[in-house]
Amino acid sequence: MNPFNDEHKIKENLQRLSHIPRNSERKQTSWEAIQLKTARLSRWNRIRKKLLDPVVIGPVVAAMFLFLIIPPLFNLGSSNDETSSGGMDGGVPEDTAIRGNLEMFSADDSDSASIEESEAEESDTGEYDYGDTFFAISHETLENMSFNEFYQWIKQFDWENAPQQVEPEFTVTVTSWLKDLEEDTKLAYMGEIIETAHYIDPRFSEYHQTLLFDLLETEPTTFFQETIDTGDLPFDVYSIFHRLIQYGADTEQLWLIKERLQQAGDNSLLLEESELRIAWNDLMAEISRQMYTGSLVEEVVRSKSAEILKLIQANNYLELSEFVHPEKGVRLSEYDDVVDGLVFQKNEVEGFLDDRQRYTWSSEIDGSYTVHEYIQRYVLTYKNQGNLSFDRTEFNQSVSNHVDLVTIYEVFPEGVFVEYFSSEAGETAEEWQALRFVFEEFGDDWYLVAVTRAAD
Amino acid sequence: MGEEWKQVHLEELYENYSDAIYRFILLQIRDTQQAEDLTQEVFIRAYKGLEQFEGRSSYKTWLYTIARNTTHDYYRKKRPISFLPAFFQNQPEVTAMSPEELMEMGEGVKELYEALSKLKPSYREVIVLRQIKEFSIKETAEILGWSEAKVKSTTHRAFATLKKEMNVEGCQHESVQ
Repeated sequence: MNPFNDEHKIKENLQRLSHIPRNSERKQTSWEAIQLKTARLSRWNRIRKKLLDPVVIGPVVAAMFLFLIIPPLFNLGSSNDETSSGGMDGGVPEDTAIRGNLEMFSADDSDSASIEESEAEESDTGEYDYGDTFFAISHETLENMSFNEFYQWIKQFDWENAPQQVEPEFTVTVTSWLKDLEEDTKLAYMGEIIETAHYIDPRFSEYHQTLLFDLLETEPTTFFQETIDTGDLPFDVYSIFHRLIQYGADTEQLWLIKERLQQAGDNSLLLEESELRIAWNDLMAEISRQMYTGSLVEEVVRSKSAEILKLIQANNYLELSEFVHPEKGVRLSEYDDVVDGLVFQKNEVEGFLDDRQRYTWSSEIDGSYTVHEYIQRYVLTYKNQGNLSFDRTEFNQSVSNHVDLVTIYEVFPEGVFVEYFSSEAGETAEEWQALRFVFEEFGDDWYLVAVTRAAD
Repeated sequence: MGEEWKQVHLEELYENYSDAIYRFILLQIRDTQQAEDLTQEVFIRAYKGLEQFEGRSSYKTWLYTIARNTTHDYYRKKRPISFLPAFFQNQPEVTAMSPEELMEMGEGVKELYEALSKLKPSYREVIVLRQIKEFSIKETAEILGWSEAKVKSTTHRAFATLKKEMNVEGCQHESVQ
């Protein structure tokens, strides 16, 4: 038994850490130092307030206005070319500053020395040279550093004043260094590594998918969690996954990406977080879409879905049962969260018309209905307002932008679906309804495993 | 708002919060002298910002936000030096807490202190704020500039990682005994 890893003990000890002693002499010295500095600030504030007093500043501004706008009045206009060419807006120092910042990225240009000196002043040593060091980084230099040191530095780098793109060699050096980091480091700093790659090259997910793939391979759950968490950054985290999926498609490794994502999904902690859960299900659907779009599978399930819809509309449950998965049955679910759907076996489907058993379908449907009643009132009609006509069908993607939780892939990781969408389900344009027919492969064919309904 | 009022108010804030702010910074950077200097910096920044303080958050949350930014700026200023080859010989001297000081605080505290230092910065921050300083999720989100959902999920992961670190630490401790 380890006496230190008990959760209660850890929490108790964390509390104790809030009583770390503080040296009272140092505390007093600190306060004196603060008083000294704030007294100086206070004096300066008083002076500033006096200077900004309209009585003082007014005449000064007026005099400057006269001096600058009406130069002939002061007999300066024709004789002083230097002033008229740039003194007024302080253009020269500003230009120098911009040039200097850009030149931080140019290792062999000595003109930027003054700017680099000012940067160096911030550090404790005179030897520090921001610009040169930045580009002098080699793989060997990086190998001598801890990732965290590099990350802290890169994060605080003045990117705003940097050129849009850094030199490709630098990007490649850093990216391959990141890829070669030890597994423990990658695990501990997964999110930071993704951020670093983004800082180095905002298009990294487009050009360095091998790094993404490598991070996913290191530990899929952490990769997935941390990538979603980098949402604070000014880029779309989904684009990272889409690039990765594209890379998988290009290199015929989509199945591997899907397998890793499934591993991440097996981690129960991950699916406790709603944001991650929605993203995970979306990505699983996206991978399946990439895998099967344009294939025979898409053709087969689209045609089966059309037949199934006709059979449901015709109340022909006997023939419908032929499409139902022989082992898993079919799950009927109000909304796309299929986890709580009701499951019916093939033989039960055959008898839907005569089945008098009443079920509660969702918390939002008052009362209980038989399967047939449910289908008539909710699946085939919109809020019981008349039969629906579906004007769009999609394969493994949703027409609407609704953000409800879709859990099809948690229950059917190997599934594919066809969506029937009715954009004018109700009287107004905002009222829509969608049905999804979910299929899974069994033997040599694809069988219906779920019918879900979603509406606005 | 007069300068005198600001001075008096600052003294009050220093009396009430400077110990907590010092500990918050110390747990991040583990250097007692540096933590003291940064605490000073926090209160000087607070003095400068007192006039702009709109009371949308409490003074306490506001001070922690400044402390967090000050600690990050400290990294910003210091870390670039690590790029210098010379850095590897010129590591600044760290005024660490003595093991005795930590031992005195109770069984397992030293191990916890060590384990905390091994966490990544965002995990450490969220643990210190949520578990040690007992800020609410909302306040923590405000201080760290995160969404509340991110605070929740990160706290969960951070604590799980801390427990894992404690296991490693604990095992080492036992094997030494």
